[in-house]
Formats: sequence, structure tokens, C-alpha cells
Amino acid sequence: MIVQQIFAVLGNTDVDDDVIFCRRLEFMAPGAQLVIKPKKGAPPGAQRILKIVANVINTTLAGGSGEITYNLDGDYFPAYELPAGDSGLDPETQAKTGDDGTPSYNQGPLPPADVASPNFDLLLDPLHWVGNYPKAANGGNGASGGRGVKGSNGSNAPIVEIWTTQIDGKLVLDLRGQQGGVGGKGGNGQFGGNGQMGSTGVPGTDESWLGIPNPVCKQGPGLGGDGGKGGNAGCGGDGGDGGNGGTAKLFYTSGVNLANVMPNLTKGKGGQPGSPGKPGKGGKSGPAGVNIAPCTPALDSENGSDGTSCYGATGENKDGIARPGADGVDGKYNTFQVQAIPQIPSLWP
Amino acid sequence: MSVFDIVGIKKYGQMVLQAQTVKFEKDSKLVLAPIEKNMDPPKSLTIIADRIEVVDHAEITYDFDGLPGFDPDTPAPPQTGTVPPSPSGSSPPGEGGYPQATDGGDGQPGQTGLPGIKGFDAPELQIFVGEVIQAYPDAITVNFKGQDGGKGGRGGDGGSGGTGQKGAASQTSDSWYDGDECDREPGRGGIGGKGGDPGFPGRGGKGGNGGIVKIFAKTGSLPAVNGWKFIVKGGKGGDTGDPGNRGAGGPGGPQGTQNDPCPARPEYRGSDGPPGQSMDEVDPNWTTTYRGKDGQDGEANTYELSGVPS
Repeated sequence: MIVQQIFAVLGNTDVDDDVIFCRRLEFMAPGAQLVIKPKKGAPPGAQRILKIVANVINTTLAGGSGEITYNLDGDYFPAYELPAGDSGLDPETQAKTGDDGTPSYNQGPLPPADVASPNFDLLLDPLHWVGNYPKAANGGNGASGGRGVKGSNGSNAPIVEIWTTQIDGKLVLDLRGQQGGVGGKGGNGQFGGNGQMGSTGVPGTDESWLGIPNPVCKQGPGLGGDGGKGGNAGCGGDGGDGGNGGTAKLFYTSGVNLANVMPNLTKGKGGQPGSPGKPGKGGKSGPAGVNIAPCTPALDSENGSDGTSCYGATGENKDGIARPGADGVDGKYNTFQVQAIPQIPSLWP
Repeated sequence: MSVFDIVGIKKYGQMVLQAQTVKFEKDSKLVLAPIEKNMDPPKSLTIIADRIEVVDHAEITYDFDGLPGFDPDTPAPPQTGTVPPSPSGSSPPGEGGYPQATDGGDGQPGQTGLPGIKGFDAPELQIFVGEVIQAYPDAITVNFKGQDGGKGGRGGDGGSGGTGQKGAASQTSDSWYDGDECDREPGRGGIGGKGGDPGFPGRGGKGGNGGIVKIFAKTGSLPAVNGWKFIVKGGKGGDTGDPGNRGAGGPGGPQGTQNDPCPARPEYRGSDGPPGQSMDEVDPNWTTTYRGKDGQDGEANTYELSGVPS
């Protein structure tokens, strides 16, 4: 609990306590903002309350307008790390973007792409390059990329409760809910493995009905293995939910001009879904086995198809996998007239 | 002298309860709850009283969802909404071209299940009181635990892969010296489409945050309110929903029709499409990944007053 005769707000004055008792709350210069920070020792995301009990709230020294707002998401970076004009205050900034999905496979060219097993290659593994009859082994199917992580939820704006007997000048309560973070990017799909080469044709001899030796094909060349299918693209993460607008409560005595209090308690919008990863390419088919006359060549095998793209919310399928975050809920403003405000011994013995 | 008497279970839906005396009768409960149809739940309560009397034991709690049981003790209901199964891949009809018929289309991945219902955040309570009269040190229990989240919805089923097209028929011609001869072997059947991955389970609903309780009491009553029991733990996140079923791989198309003397080429049958990945393959940690987040613990504090508001 903060107890002061005069609580002065100069520039951005941070408050990490939840109760302020004072005789005067003075906004001292133009642009003065009382910024509510997380309460000391409280876990991230905890509901935040600030209760102000002040006989007089005065913003005339600040040009007739003072503001109470908040920064709860740990976005404390100095201005040079923020986009131009980004104050770091939660009502004006977006929550953090979600992490990228895992796994996410490297798709080359450098370093070389991740390829599913088995993957047949004459140069890298010549002993296993040629397969069995009638059909050699197919390349492995690529694994799908992982889904992106949901964007961070926007901070819920705090509850601000004020007990006062006098307000001079305008008091702005910027307690808009924070916008949800963008979902993380989906992981890239793995490449499909290449198919194995078919077995070599086997010629032989036979006799025609006239007893004349006749070349024949004992076993045709084997079919090459099909290429493995590429892994599917990972979908983006869902967008973070928007934060709820704050709650403002004003307990006042008669004579206080309620029009001097200007609350903005709009809900935060949900964040956008993350972008999907890239699908993996299909593996190449293994070549048909070597043909030796009088055998006839084997047909070609088939290349693996590329992985499928994520059917995201921005694609043709609007009911797809990644969703935008839900909007928050608008806050509320309540006023209640009292005869006297609370008093504590150190200020009002 | 105004007395607000609480007998049995008393629902209260206003933001402020102001009386000279607030009296809790034996085993009474003051329940923050909507008291009219379609009324927004009261998210905070300020009690302003010169005196609080507790005859025996009493409880302050909340019930926002209107379902049986108070919210701190009953989780949000499970998600019953469903998502439709995803379409299967196409299956090209008839015979395909030579040498390779058309592949079956891939089944689409299942849709993500609907998220679980969030548990209600416990409300905020503050009490300004001058004098406390009670028979027991733990006369009042404030049960402002956050509500547990509801179970997530079931993911949609992945579509089945389409069947590969049948290969082209073999072709023969007459030979003057050796009867019929094979001009073209049977064509390859199309490869079966890949089954769609299962729809992700719906994420469990987030647990509600525990309540924030502040008691302001005059010096002589501080020991009394410090003996009250405050339950302000966050609600547990809801269980993850069930994933959808993965789609089956489509069967490969058969080889083309074989006519003598062309050889049969069973190896020309198209390969079967692989089934969609299992949920464990997609995410080995899915049972925890999609569990709802626990709510944050609230807090309870007491403060000393010299003057009670009125």
C-alpha cells in the first residue's frame, strides 16, 4: 500500500502496488501518465487491481488532462527497440507472437533439405540402390510440419477503483483490452524420399516349335520404387485472444463532476492466425530396371506428390485449422455516490 | 438502523451492499449471482458496513453459470459442439491413360475441435467494516476459487484418400507366324490418395482466475478478519478434447485389364495411399499441449482503517 500526502505523476509514473492512499493525486505536467505495472511478486497474467483513495484529483497542472493506463505484458523495452511511436503501453501494442511450429524441416538448398527415410541414392548408398523384382522399394513419406503456437493472449485491462471528493480537470482512464498476438508460423513439411531403382531384366533362351533356339525374356526389368509423398505443411497457430476491457469504479461524494472522468474500456481484438509452413516436395521415382533384349522396358514409376498446404483460415476453407483469436469483452464503468471516503490512520488519525 | 440479514442461501447481484449492520445467520451463504434473467454476472462486490455480525459460520461465494452447484466447486461444462468431418479425396472414374492412370486425391485434414468453455474468473470482493462480532475466529469463509475450465471439443475426422484410377487395358494384335502378340502391357493404376491427418483436439477451457479480496477494517477488528478463511486459488484448466480419426489411405488403382498374350503385371497396381498421421505422430505431447491453462491465483489482504466510508 502506498501512503503519501501528495502522489505526484510526472511523465510516465509506474505503480506496482495495488492501493494508493493520498490526500492529493497530482498530474504535474502535460502528458503525465500513471502507468499500472504488474504487482510486485505477482505471477504474469494475474488480475490487476488499483485502488486509489484521494481527497482531490487534480490535472490542471498537466494542461487539464491526466491519464491512467497500464503495461502488464512485460513490454518494457526502451523506445529504440520498439517501432516508431510504440509506447509499450498495452492498449496501444499487440501481445507477443506465438512461437513457430516444431518440427519444421529444412527445405534447402543450403544446408541440404531434410528428406524422409528410406531415401535411395546411387552415390550415397550404392549397395542398396537396386531393388527386388517385381517392384523396388518406395521412398519414405515426409513428415508433416508442426503447428504454430497460439499467439499470446492480450492483457486484460486492470480494474481501477477511485474514491474521491473532488476532481479538477479531465481524468482519462485508458483501459482498453490489449490486442491478441499473432499465431506462430507453421513448420515446413519434410521432403519425401526417392524411390529405389528396379531390378535388371533377365534374358534367356527357349526353343520354337521348329526346334530353333529362340531368345526370350525370363524376367522383365523391375519397376522402380515410387517417390515418397512430401510432408504436409504445418498450420499456423491460432491468434491470441484479445484482452478484456477494464473495469472502472468511481465512488464519489456530492459535488464531483462525473463528466471529468473519461473512461475508454473497449475490448481488445483477437490476434490473426499464424501463416502456414511450406509443404515438402515429393520424392523422385526410382528408375526402372535396366532392360536387356528381348525383354521390354518396364514402365516408369511415379514421383511422390508434394505435401498439402494447410487449409488455413485465410485459404479457401474458412473453417480451417488456424483460427483468429476471440475478441475480448468490453469493460464496465460504475459510479456510486457515498457520503465519505475511507480513511487510514497514517493520513487521517 | 439498517440491517441486511442473510439467512440460508442469499443471492446478491448488485455492485455495492451498504448497511449499518450486515448479519450472517447460522450456516448462511451470500452468493454473488445474477438475480434477473439475462443479467450480466456481478464481477465485484463492495460491502460497506459499520458492523458485521456472524452468528455461527458463514460463506461468501459466487454462482455465475446458473448450473447446479456453486462455480468454485463445479467445472465449466464440456464442449459439446462438433465440427464436421473433412472431405475425402477424389476417386477418378473409369480407366486411365497409358502408361499411368490418375492418382486418387488426398483427404483433407480434420478440423480443430472447438475450444472448451472457460471457467469463470472469481469476482472481486472488498469489505469496509468498523466492527466485527463473531463466535469463531474462522467465522467467514470467502470461497473465491476460480472455476475449473471445461473439456475441449472433439477434433474432426480427416478425409479418406481417394482411390487411384484403374490402369489402361493392354493391347494385342494378330501375328501371321506366332498367333497374337502383345503390343502394349497393361497400364499402371493410379496411386491411392493420402488420408487426412486427424483434427486437433479442442483446447481445454482456461481455468478462471482466483478472486481478489481486500478487507479494510478498523484497528480493533483486524484480528477478527485476519482469522477468516480465504480461498482464492485459480481454477484448473480443462481437459484436452479428443482428436479426430485420421483418414484411411486410398487404395491404389488396379492394373489395366490384361488380355492374352500380354503378361499380367500385378506390380502395376497403384500403391495404396498412406493413412493420415496419428495424433501421436503429429504431436507426441498433444494431451498436454491442448490442455487448458490454469487460472491465476488471486490474493487476499487486510488493511487498517481509521474511518469507514458511508
